[in-house]
Amino acid sequence: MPFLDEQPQAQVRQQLEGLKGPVKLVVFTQELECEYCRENRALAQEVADLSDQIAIEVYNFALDKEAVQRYNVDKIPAIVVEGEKDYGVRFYGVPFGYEFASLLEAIQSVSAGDSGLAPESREMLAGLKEPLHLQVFVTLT
Amino acid sequence: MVESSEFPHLANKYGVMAVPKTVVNERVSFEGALPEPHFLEGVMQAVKSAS
Repeated sequence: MPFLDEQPQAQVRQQLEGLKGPVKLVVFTQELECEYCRENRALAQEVADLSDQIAIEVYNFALDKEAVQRYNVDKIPAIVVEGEKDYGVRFYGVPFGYEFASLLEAIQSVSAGDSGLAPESREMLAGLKEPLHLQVFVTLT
Repeated sequence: MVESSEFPHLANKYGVMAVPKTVVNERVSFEGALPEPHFLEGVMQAVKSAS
């Protein structure tokens, strides 16, 4: 059963219409012992189906060690939103609810290859001397 | 993004109660959905104090 009904599907399709560059949703999943892996993969597939610019790639967290290492994924379910390059955007946990909007926004900015940040913000970030790891903890409601 | 209920051990590790909670370099964190300039300040402060 799909997660998105007709109307949300149409809305999402419209929102994704202007995507400039190709986006890959790299899904990390597992057959056993991962409670929401199936939903995560199904949701990513549904989103990918709504735009010609979005492709999906699925890796097994236990078996595809090369991919796990390449994307540096340490837990599942995971979706890497990758554009022309890997900007380090990862969704850990199924992006239902409010996080679905975040996923769509991530797809849009990754597709454009632009963070959308203000010049002042970019200036601050330009001053970083070491890699920055941000983990934003959320709940679905 | 890390969905707290699916990763309770992580939510626990970082003492996540109110969300959103942003953890910077696994060491410093701040809570709230801040407007961009404040978020950036929070991040840069956290980077400074974690180093």
